Amino acid sequence: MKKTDGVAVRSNVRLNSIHVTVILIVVLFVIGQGVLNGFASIRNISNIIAFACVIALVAVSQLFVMVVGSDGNDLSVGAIMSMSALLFADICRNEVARIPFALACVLLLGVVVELINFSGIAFLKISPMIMTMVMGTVVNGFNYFYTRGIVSGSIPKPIMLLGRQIVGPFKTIVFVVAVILVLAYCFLRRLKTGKKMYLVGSNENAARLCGIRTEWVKLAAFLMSGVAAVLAGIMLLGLSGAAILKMGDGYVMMSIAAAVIGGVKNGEGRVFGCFLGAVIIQTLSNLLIAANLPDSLQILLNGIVLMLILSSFARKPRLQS
Amino acid sequence: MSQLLKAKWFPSVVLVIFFLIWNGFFVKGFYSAASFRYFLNVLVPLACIAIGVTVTVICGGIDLSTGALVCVINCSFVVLMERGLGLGAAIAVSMLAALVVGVVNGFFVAVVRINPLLVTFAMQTICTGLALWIRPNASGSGNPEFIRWYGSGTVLGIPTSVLFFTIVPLVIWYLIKRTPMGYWLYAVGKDERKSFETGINTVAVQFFAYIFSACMTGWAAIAFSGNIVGGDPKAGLSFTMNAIAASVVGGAALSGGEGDPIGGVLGALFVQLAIYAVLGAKVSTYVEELSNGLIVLLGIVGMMAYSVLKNRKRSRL
Repeated sequence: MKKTDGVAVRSNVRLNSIHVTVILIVVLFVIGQGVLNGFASIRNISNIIAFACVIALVAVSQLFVMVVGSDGNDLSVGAIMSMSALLFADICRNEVARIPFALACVLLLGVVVELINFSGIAFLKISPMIMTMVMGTVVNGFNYFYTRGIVSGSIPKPIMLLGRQIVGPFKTIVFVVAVILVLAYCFLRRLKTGKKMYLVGSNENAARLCGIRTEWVKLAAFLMSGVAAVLAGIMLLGLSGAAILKMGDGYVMMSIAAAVIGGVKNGEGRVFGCFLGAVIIQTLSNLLIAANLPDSLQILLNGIVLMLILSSFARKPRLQS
Repeated sequence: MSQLLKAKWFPSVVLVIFFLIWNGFFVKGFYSAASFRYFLNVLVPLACIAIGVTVTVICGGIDLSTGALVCVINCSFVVLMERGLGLGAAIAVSMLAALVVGVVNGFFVAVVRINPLLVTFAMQTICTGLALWIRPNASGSGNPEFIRWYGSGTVLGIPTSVLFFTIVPLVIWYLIKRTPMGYWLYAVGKDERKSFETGINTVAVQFFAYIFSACMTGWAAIAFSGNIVGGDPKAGLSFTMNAIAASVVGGAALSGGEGDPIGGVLGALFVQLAIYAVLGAKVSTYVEELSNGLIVLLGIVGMMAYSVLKNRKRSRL
């Protein structure tokens, strides 16, 4: 009985936070239109949504790790994204027939990285953020070693199509990511493993006593996170049209911000919330570009925004209560 | 002797001795006076940061902003001297800036109550932007007098770099440890709620830990500026991870309440020796980034595995 109450209250709160995020997006667009004429044009909106799709995918990868709890964020997603983009371009070498093979390779590598992450966290009790941060550096080092600093290969046409407009004002990537997000939603809400992730995140001991094998559920969450990060890397490759070393690094911070805005916590979090959070973050960084700020100030302001977002969404309860 | 064997940082002593011997054999001219002095000069900033990071770990937190803060202070230190400020004034202003960063970190961790990993991660982004804003590209020449003093000066036979940037911070820490604040740091790290209930001002203790860490980082950044000569907005970024690895290898428990800055210094020695060992093996430059990452990973993984096995043995008895 108590449990259903909890869910009802929580879904109320979520509804509110989604309203707030939508209002925030509209406000940002109004400000943007004030700063630069044409900010709220269809063309710019389509551009913002295309890049927000990449962030949303990384945020979903973050969601998997955050939902199963233990205060974890995944800081290696950026390096995994870069790895998947670089290796995908390198293996494909402009041949369409090699796409499935390249996809399998990068997916495998992404899963292996997350497997190592999980082993360190589960067996050696290394805190998730430190383990994933160190793994991120190792993966970036691997990327440099593998490519020797020079990116070879080129991007096959079907992947380049992701950044083009085919139907309506939206780029192809929007539809592809929409399908992936729906699949992630179905996994989390309809499949047993996905539902168990929320249970493990909200109360690990209770979940274990219910007979859920919590370690396996956590492992599944990490592997799914790796898959989402790899797909995000390929989306970014298609959208930007070139593979660059460390191209995914900036997305770590954005994905955490997007997931936190989307209401992701231990045992809570929605895929749609992540998408809205991603739109906010991308609109904001687009706004900073429109305001013609130098790179350094953009990074600085992004950091300040993340700090403010954390102070309003991710506070711990007070000790006195 | 038995106390030494029991110390949490004992494994790092073994690692350090191993690598000191290894490097003597396989790194050409490692023990020649000039190159060993250079090794110490490179090591010192890392050791100084590791002292600060270990204190935040003892207090149950972590500091991910150290590397980016080193960049900020390095750039501001060089820029201030280029604008005509004297050495002392430039150091004072830079340390003040580090203090401000520490206060902001402490505020968001202790008062706003956000996970310290996230707070210092956001601070890392802010500092990265700040460093790039102060100095977009690596340039500048620094103060030649300071660089000579840092690089080759000695006091009573001890290199100035080691004396002022590692021994002095350690002495300061041991003085702090004797005050109530020393006990409070360990208590808050062990159990925040219980410490609060026994009447410890947990907010003040956490504030102190982050301010101490930021000041140590600022101090290390000044040493770093004596080492790399100019101002570079990206050169210090690797300190974040190396310092965390150093304090973990030095026996600090990431769950809080355990650790000793001397372990952090030994851990820093291990990380730097291992990096030298790889450099001495004359591997291609493409492997360097990967191998440095692997050293940090293996250091952390090895130490955590060691403590897991040790606890298991104890619980069996």
